[in-house]
Amino acid sequence: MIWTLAVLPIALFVLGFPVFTVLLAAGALTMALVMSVPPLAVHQILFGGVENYALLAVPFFVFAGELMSRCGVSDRLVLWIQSFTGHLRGSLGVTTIASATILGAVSGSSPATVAATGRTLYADLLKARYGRRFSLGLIASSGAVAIVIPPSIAMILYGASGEQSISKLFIAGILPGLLISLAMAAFVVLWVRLRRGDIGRAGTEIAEAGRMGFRAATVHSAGALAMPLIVLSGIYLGVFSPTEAGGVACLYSMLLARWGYRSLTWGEILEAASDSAYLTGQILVIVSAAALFSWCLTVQGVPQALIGWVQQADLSPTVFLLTINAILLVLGCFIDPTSAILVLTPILLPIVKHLGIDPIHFGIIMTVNLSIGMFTPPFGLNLFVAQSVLKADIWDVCRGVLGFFLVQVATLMIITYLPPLSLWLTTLL
Amino acid sequence: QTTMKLASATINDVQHEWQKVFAQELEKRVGDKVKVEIYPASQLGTIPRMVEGVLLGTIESFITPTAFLVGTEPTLQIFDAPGIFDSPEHLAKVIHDPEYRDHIETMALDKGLRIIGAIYNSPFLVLTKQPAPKLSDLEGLKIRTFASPLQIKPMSAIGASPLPLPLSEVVPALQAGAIDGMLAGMPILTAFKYYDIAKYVTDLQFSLIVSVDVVNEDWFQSQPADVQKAIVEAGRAAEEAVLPWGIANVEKANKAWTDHGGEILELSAEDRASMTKTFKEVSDKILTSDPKVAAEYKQLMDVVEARR
Amino acid sequence: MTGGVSGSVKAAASIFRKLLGLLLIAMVLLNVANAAGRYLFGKAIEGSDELLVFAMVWLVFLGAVLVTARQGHLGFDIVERLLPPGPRRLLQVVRHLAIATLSGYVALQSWAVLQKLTRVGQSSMALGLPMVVPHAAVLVSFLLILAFSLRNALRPPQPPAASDGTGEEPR
Ligand code: NA
Ligand code: NA
Repeated sequence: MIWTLAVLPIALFVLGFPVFTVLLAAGALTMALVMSVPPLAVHQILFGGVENYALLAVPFFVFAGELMSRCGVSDRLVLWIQSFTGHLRGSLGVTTIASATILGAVSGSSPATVAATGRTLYADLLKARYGRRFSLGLIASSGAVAIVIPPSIAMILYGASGEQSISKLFIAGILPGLLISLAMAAFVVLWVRLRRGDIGRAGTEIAEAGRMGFRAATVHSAGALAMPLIVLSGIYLGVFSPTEAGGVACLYSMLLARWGYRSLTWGEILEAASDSAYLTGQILVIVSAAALFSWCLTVQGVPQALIGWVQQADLSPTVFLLTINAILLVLGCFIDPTSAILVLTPILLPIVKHLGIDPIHFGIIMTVNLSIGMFTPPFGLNLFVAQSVLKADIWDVCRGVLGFFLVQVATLMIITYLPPLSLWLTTLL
Repeated sequence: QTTMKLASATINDVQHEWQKVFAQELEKRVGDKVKVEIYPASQLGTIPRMVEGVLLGTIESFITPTAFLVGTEPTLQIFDAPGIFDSPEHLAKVIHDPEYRDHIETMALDKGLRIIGAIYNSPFLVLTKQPAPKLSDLEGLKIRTFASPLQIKPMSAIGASPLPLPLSEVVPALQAGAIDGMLAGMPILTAFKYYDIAKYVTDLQFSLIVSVDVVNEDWFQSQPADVQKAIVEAGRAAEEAVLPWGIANVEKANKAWTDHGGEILELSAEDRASMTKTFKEVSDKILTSDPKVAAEYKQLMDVVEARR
Repeated sequence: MTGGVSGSVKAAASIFRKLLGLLLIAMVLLNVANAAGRYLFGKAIEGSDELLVFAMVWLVFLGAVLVTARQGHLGFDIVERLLPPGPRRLLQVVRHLAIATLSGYVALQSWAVLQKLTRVGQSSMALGLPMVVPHAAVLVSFLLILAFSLRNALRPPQPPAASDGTGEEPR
């Protein structure tokens, strides 16, 4: 069992097999060689892994994010943020974080946010003398907040595989997401002050345009700002479920792109839909294969054995969470959040419940951990996106994220040991 | 030694109890010839996946309210017809009637499923955020139901809006007011602490849930004769044994409900009569549209009358 | 492989991509119509949730075919990038062949399941749709994944495709 469920998948993973084939091969071979289960189960569980209403939110939020990033929303949002941060020293750095935060509130994907903020702000950050490494690190790491701020594909996957309410997870992510952004912004301002010199002082085009005034900028970007409000208030007021919020977000983005901003043709909207279908296949085929893998783990009694081990070791929730944070941070260096959430949730959630930790709070801890993993070297989608979109050297990106990594890990500790930060808003639902 | 995986969507309820008693009864008869593994709480997948699992033989056995097997064997919906059982005891007399029980065992055999357990689960109640002691109170309310016609159509007939919704979204939807209530059994309502969100249940007394345990027939036939016999006997012994447990569990759940500040309301005799009439019209229409279902329905009703 | 054949494969792939895009847009419209119906009129479109989920199953597995065709599946390629060109190419070919074998195995199981479901006549709960309809997505897609993996094994490595208009791999 250890061969087919641990050694084989690790070997295939290292040899560069796509994650979904790693999980599929491990599951199918375990069934054929170790378990006495008819191999028909392979088909049945692959199908069942995707045939899940909660997962519908994934294609919808992917599509809404694609439309938003293509219809010129990011420029408008940057302008809006500059309209009230423009006077600050280090404003462009803060603007980068604020843009990632607000773009994160219209998109469920962290790499998409990195691409959008990077395209809009990288050149200006360089002009304002933030330096290449710092700018690249800032862009790659601030995009991570997009999966902590709702909507979030990571939370949808956690909720779907752990049977937790996605609405609650979305609401629970708001304050931790804002805390991460605040901590990042504080770090940037501090860094700019400590470096003295003229960093962040030189005027740039965007900073100039940002002085168009708060009111004018708000009107200019109202269409984009309305999107997170529609989604979150819809969920909060009970008008629709997270999945329906995703559908509404898509329809709204289509209307905004076609008739509001007149920035996309129907053909371009279809193009965005086709790319979203591609991305959906890329993500959810892993969900499907992970269902097979975790089915084998369950029937082989792995979660039960781990609970037994935790009981014997007499771990307190505090120590358990610290251990989990350490493990997730290390894992996050090598694998993508989608796979990590799908493989780990069924294993960890029974232990979490056994220890009396709130599963919603745990979902947030897991999401934050894995959002950090998205920009920790050597493997992190955000790193690769920053590299390819900004034509940068991967080494510069990796060096640049270090400071931000420490800031976010410190924030992770606060989020882990202060459950009300995540749970308070959900009690108001 | 052969392994028998028993799956269910629930935990610590009468279905789970049946699985545990069945495992003991089977061990008494065949020792460790069959290794029974119990997977409650949807550990092996969602309800539709578990149904397919037994059909395909990836799971040997699955226990569920009959409503979820209708897509496999349409005749099983007869047990959901409103107003056929007077009480849990009456229900048990009907499904444990020796001759009719033998018939139940074979009802889904065409589809490759053998029914080795048939038990009383619990009454269907309607949970609401606002008290609904009158039938007219339910008009216009958005009520979460299963996607089965025998739940949807009767609810529409009395003016409510039936909405199938995934279980994980029921709690936030209730809290936020996206739905006003749901149909469910009391053990489920207390197990998931619904009294924190909505205080009122109305006991419509229209339907008692029957749960059945099905095994994959190919797997069953591949067992030696003594094991086959032991499985059938253990199933029946377990269903006799859990009846009082099930009745007591519903009472315990009712008490837990009121202990946590919930209220259990009942319709007036007049309202009940009018509701039963409406429900019967609707369900008769559904149940007589297919001659095979109609024949099974008639056979069931004969036992229902004889055992009243 | 001749230019003509690969040209028509390209055209077919482009139509295929567009159809998946249209499917997604149709899903959005149905979903919003259902939410609006419930909120404004207190009436859901019967069976719409089920239909949406079945559509998503097709979208996902066919989407995975596109990802296979463009060799865009998520994976860890750092080790591979460290290898010299010869061994790297060998590893890639072995990998594509292994994936093709695995896909064939899945398709075989899938075929058996479809036959069984047809025999039983299993139908869905809300719409009464034959369950073969959503399940067939697995068979069809894994057969296509098998085909594309073989093509990937035979073909020299291609630069990332640029059919999304932006000139970049979508993320
Ligand atoms: Na987000
Ligand atoms: Na990483």
